[in-house]
Amino acid sequence: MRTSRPRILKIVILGESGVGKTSLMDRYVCNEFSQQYKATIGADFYTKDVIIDDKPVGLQIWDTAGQERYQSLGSAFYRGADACVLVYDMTDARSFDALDSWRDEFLISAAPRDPDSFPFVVMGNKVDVIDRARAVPTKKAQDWCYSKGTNVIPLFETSAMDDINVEAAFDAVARSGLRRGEQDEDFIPRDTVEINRKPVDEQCAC
Amino acid sequence: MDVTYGETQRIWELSDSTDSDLDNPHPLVPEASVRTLSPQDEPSQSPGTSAASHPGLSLDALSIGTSSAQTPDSAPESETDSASCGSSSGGIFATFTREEDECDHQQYHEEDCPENARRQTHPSASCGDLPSSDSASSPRTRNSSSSQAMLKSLRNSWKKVKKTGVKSTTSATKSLSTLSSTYFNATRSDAATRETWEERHSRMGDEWLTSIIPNWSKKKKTARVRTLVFRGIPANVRGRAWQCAIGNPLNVSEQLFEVLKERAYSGRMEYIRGRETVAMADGDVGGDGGKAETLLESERSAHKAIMLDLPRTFPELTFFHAEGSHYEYALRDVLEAFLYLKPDVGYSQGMSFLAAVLLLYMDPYEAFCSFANMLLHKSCFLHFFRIKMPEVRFYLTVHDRLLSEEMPALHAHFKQHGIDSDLYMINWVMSLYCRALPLDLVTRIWDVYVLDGDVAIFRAALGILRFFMPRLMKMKFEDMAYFLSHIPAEDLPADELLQSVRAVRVVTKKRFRDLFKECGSVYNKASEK
Repeated sequence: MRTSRPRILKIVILGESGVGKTSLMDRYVCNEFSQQYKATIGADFYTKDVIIDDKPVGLQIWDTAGQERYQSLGSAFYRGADACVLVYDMTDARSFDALDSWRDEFLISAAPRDPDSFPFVVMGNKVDVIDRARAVPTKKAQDWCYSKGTNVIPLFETSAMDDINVEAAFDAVARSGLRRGEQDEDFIPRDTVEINRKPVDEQCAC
Repeated sequence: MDVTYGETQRIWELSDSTDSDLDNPHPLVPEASVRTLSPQDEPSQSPGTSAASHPGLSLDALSIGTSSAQTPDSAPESETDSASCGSSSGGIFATFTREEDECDHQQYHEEDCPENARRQTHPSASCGDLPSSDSASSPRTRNSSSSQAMLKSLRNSWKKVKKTGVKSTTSATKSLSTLSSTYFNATRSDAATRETWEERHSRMGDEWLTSIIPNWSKKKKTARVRTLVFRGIPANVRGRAWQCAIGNPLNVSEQLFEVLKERAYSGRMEYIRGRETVAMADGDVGGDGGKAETLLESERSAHKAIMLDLPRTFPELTFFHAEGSHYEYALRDVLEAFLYLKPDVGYSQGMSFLAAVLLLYMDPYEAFCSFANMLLHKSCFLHFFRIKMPEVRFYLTVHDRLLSEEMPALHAHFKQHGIDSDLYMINWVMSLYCRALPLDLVTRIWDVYVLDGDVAIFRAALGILRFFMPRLMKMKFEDMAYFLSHIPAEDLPADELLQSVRAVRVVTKKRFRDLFKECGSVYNKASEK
């Protein structure tokens, strides 16, 4: 199904407090990074127009608050989403463990028609941090991405500060959202898992 | 001081009754039992701070007797409290608030117009609403508009301060203070013939200090006080006025604050030690951090959230976060003490902004006292910060109803384009506008909030929407959603906003209560079905 009007995609960014959701958004939408983000309360709304495969696409991005108790507010922000970004902090194992609950909560609140194949993208942020130990090995994140739903969830290790992989990750989000809209498109086969990382890491399995 | 158990019991009874007071307006809603910190709860509540490990910190040590509780109604005798805080909090927005006062067209008007001047000398008389335009014949009009222009450039600098990072803030602040002194000199020369800026400001402050604050319970309902509040409480008496208006019905004493702080300290230390243990355990292959994590679970997440949010609360205020500045520590103390006062509420994002604003005008104990009373006494915050459904939903529905009555066209427009009130109201209420508006506007709205309570929050929302209604009516979903989550504060002059808020007629306390009850009964009927 192809139309001349730009497709509008609603994207929701979820994850623990302080993992860098707002900074990823700021990097992607404004190409900026600041050390001084205010804590997000409720949700902030941003838009970005992109061209994907020569087609204009309008992204409506919802940057949400990360504190766990805010999950119960979610439904209003999650409803009608076309894709969901799950963010964790690579230096904080707990933020990675929380992905399960964020994903489940999203699927309950948003109640998409295709919960098993709904497009998620996982971003492991703060890949630039060198003074703290890395708490989530790539392999662990990769395994998680393999184990959820019928499709493999694309995984990106990103840095909003150093602008690593942010554009590529959101590009994947937009594509997966578009793909969901196109009914004649096949599901992503299992062998196309994307582990896009610029910095070399000895633990990297790819 | 001898404190019997009976006395210590009081505070918990009080806080229980507060809960029931809070739930009173909506008795139709089945309420889950509200857990308050009680002596029985204590050992199991906070394993990290058990009486065994901290023998000095049993509940009997809490002194909460009414005699020791400083009630703000009787407090303002000494000159040291908020004034010192206000001045040391520097300037940036103490300055701004003063400018807002100075910019008030009403002031110029009053000085020119004998009728208004007479009103000024009769505090009990109503001053009425602010005039919408200056008289063209007034010789001060030109000066006033040049002052307005200067204020605009000041606000632009402020915006610059907000946008630029840490490094450039100092220089921006410098340029801001240069600008502001230029502005003050100009304004001062405007009024030099009659009354200097200092004289007028001190006269207004004096009225608050000598007449209004000591007689708050009598005066708070007068038209004079209402007008003064909408015009902005002078920054140098704001802390004291807020304390007085919020009051201390919970009888939170300084000793209680000290004890809670001590508890919070040991809780934080446990958390930090635990974090190290867990981190080490996680670092081992197949390591078992599980046990430590379970022990620390509830407090851990609260301490972690508070520490995370400290630098993310008004990051643009460099003096607040500067190295060696006491503000950040005080903010942590207030939030952590509250965590131990009401473990069932704990810490919620949004609280840090509220506590920080109080700290800019008060010392830590006063701020804690006002914070606790603001949140726990007949307030919608308790529901919002616990994100308690369906009550939060009711508040949003009440807002929708009020919006549909006040501005039916805008309400229909929102509906047509799918704008839910969740989109902006959660943010506006849970930070009391701190995240949406610059501080000079925030403090003006807070002035009205301390006078009117919850309804002021909802009235302010309608005031903002009313102000921007012509622009919003021209927008579609995307532009509106962006606009509402990023209010262009530079287009929102404080006095005009306050006029717009004051002009909102549909929000009265009774109407608000009735609508809330209605939501409850509709909900109950629906759930019965």
